[in-house]
Amino acid sequence: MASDFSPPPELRYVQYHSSKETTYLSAIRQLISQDLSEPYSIYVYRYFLYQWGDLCFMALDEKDNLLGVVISKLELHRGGPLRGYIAMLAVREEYRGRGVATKLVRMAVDVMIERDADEIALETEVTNTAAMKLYERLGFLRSKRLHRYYLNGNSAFRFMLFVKESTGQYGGEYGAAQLPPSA
Amino acid sequence: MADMSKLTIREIHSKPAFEKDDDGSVADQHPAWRPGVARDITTGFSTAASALTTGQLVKDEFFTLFEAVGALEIMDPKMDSGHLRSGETLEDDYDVLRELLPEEVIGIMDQLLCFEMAWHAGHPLSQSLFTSLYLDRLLWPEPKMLEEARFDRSKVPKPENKMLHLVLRAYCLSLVKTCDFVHQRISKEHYYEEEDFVSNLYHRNLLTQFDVVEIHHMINEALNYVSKLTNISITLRDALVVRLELRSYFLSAVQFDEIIDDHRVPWWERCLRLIPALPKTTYLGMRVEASFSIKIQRRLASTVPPRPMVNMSFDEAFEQLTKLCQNGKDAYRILDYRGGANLMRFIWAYQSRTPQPSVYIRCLMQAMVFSEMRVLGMMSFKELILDNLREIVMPADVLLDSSNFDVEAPQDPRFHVAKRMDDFMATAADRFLDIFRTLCMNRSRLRRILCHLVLEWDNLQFDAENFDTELRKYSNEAPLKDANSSEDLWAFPLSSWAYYHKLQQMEWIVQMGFELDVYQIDELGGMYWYLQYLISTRIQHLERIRTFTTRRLTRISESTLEEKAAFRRSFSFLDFAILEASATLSFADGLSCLFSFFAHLRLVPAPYHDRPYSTPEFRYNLRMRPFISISLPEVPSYQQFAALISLRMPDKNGTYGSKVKPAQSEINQQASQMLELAEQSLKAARREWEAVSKANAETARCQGCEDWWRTSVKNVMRACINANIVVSTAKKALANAGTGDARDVLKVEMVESAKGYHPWWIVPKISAK
Ligand SMILES: CC(C)(COP(=O)(O)OP(=O)(O)OC[C@H]1O[C@@H](n2cnc3c(N)ncnc32)[C@H](O)[C@@H]1OP(=O)(O)O)[C@@H](O)C(=O)NCCC(=O)NCCS
Repeated sequence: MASDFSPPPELRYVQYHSSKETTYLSAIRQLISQDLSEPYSIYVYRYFLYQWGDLCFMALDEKDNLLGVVISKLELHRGGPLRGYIAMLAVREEYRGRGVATKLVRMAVDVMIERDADEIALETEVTNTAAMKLYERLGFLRSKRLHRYYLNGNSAFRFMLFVKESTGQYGGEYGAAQLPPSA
Repeated sequence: MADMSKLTIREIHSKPAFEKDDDGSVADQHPAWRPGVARDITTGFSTAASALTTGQLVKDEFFTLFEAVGALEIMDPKMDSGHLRSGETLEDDYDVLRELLPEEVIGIMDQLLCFEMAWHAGHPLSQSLFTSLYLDRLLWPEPKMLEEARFDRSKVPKPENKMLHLVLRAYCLSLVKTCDFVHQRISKEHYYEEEDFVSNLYHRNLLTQFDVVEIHHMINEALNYVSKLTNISITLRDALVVRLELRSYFLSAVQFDEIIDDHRVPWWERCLRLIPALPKTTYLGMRVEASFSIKIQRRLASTVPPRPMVNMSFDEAFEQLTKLCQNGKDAYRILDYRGGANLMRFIWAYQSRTPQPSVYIRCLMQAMVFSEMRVLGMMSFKELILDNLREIVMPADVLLDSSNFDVEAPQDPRFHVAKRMDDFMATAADRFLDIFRTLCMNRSRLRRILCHLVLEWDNLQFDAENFDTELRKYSNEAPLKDANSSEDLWAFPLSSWAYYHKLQQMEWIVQMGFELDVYQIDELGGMYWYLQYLISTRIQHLERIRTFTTRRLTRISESTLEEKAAFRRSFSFLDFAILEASATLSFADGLSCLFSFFAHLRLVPAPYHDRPYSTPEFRYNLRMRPFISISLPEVPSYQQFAALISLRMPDKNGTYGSKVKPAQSEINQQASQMLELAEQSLKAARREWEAVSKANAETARCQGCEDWWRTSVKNVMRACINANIVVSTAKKALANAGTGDARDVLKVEMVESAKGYHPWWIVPKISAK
């Protein structure tokens, strides 16, 4: 790991705002799509950024180059709990392993908590050790495994974090029953 | 590095890529398109758009994340499948009518097989078989008669070029017809779209309307032609023959009909005999890459981005095909019915094979378990439930007497018994059936569906109590007296039955958590503790059932041979279930102690310690969520849980809460006591599993799946022996450590569930430093 290097002091963490679209959106898209086999359309980014810009954080260097980004949302989950959802997270390869992603996620989570979230969820590929380690360290648990979740056929873990006393109800996560239909 | 990424744009009408999860549904709110008069809106649109700033989102309430993910950017070559790069042509220039060498035909056949297996493995046709220009020519435009399904779509058939028009065509048509049967089979059963299988046919018809006999006729013609060829080598000729024959057998094996018996087994066996010849001759083939093209996708589906061909190697495809045929052949063993417990055992043993049988096979099994209102093609669902009730709780019980159901006179009490039993079975039927169906789902789904199903069984248990109370007056049941409170104790057979199944499902949920690597290291000790807690509840319950069954037997003055046999069967079930449960309990208990021991010495992270955003209690609650609303057995509160599994562990800073860190000697002392407990349980587990393994097939309810079940038990025993070795290694090391820090002498490494001896028993690796 490159963690022997201390983070460059110039690194800044900035909350996104729609007014910053022209400056950062294309860099965000580029950073995120690096690890994608298929790009998201512009609408996906705008869907998140326009509605939950305050839940998006960017790591910038002294020249305002984008080094890392987290994009998320916060909504009622099927009419139940207020659920935060971390949709995208990426850090430029050369800057990984220095806690940049951790810092970004923490900032997003802090805002979610401030805005009264009950729980926070996300998915990650079962082989993504770095991401899993990061979330587990913060207190997330794997709540279920999702078979062949990604287009490449890989499976995912759903990660969950309760940030409030749970209502104790077995609803939300497993919600509406999806039993095989009776033949 | 991997990432969330590959989750990406999905086609409209498919699930959203984010938070995609079938526990909810995606409303489909696209208004239907209606033809109307075209109107130029450019000016109006530009004016309206100029009032917006960049990045401002205009959307109606129906524009969800799902729509956003489904949206495409036109003219972006990565998203717009219609986009042509400069110089790129729309169509391929491959000539499907060109003369083919026999080597090329073999190459094409083997390539097609790879794509066929990729489709079976869950990839869409558009990225697999439908990239073949040959198949495309046969299937589009849609042939109205089989005669039209030809490479040369012109009216005048040319007699020459038989390698193409006769041999390859017969191969392709039988391949397509095979896919048709496979597709029909899967579509009729329960599976998860995209996750297990992509059913999209892109408006192509897989020769559904044509009679399979005609296809067989064509293969025979082709075989006839090939076997008479003298101008090619014998090896080449044989390679072609094997491929054609295999198509014919495979087609017969998967042929879709409603008859549930084992008459298709010989076809699977024939496939299995032929398959080994394939890899021996695949080297003869010459690949014809140009006959496969991704450009066909443009005509298949315009609403998705272009996606690459799936590359499955021949070796992999061969392996898949072999497994498919082996599993296909084995699946029919299920038809030999030996009672509900045996049936459940069979499906578990069969579905636990690694890799899990493919979706086609899992659907085939579902169809055998239940279709056309018959179980295994031989009995009604009611008979299955009745038999299971007799086996577990009510042997030779008047309430279940088959003749009750024939009584028509309402003044006869048996009439009322039958009516109530019918009502109960109607309530229980779907839930009971769901257990069997659920076991046929992919492993991740299995665990998740069980989380729902167990709630249904909790309700069923409750409903069953009312039936029990009502039926009591007809069965003449005399209560037992509780020794302490002298309270009346009733058997509650129906709700006992439901409780038994519910408990078992709860255990499965926990066990599947181990198998799917859902638990983190620091949770393992607690989860094995919870498992043993559930099992000890089930053992108590089994013993309770046994008590009431024994009592009922003693009350029958002179039992008939039939009654004796029924009771014997039930006792054999109960006794073996208790034995197997005890063995499982000991192992779980032993591992729980072992992990506590490791945590105590900080060889693995302390369980449930504080994390920046979470308390141990919150995480415990999250973990227990599937069980929290189940009435019985109650989930222990975190405080109880923590006390029970002695979570007085050092936290991550090495301190013990507010308490001063105890001396290392004291820590080691406590640790060795924990290790002692682990050792006792694991030794008992070893003995008990040994006893389990000695049971005969009838007792162990593993008839028809004895080989698989014994292998599985052997693996559990190996895991158990391994755990015992870990204990003795730890013991020695601890003795060496004296009053020093155990971390200086011992190292513990986790093992992924799939890499251990048995996926339900996670035994860490340990080594002395
Ligand atoms: C996942 C990702 C965002 C992490 O960014 P990062 O800034 O390196 O993360 P952090 O430094 O905050 O933390 C990562 C942790 O994982 C560890 N880690 C990184 N790579 C690892 C690996 N291959 N194996 C084990 N641990 C690894 C790091 O050491 C660090 O833990 P530590 O602090 O205990 O050492 C980054 O790797 C990335 O952009 N990946 C591609 C996109 C992606 O996967 N996104 C996540 C989608 S959910």
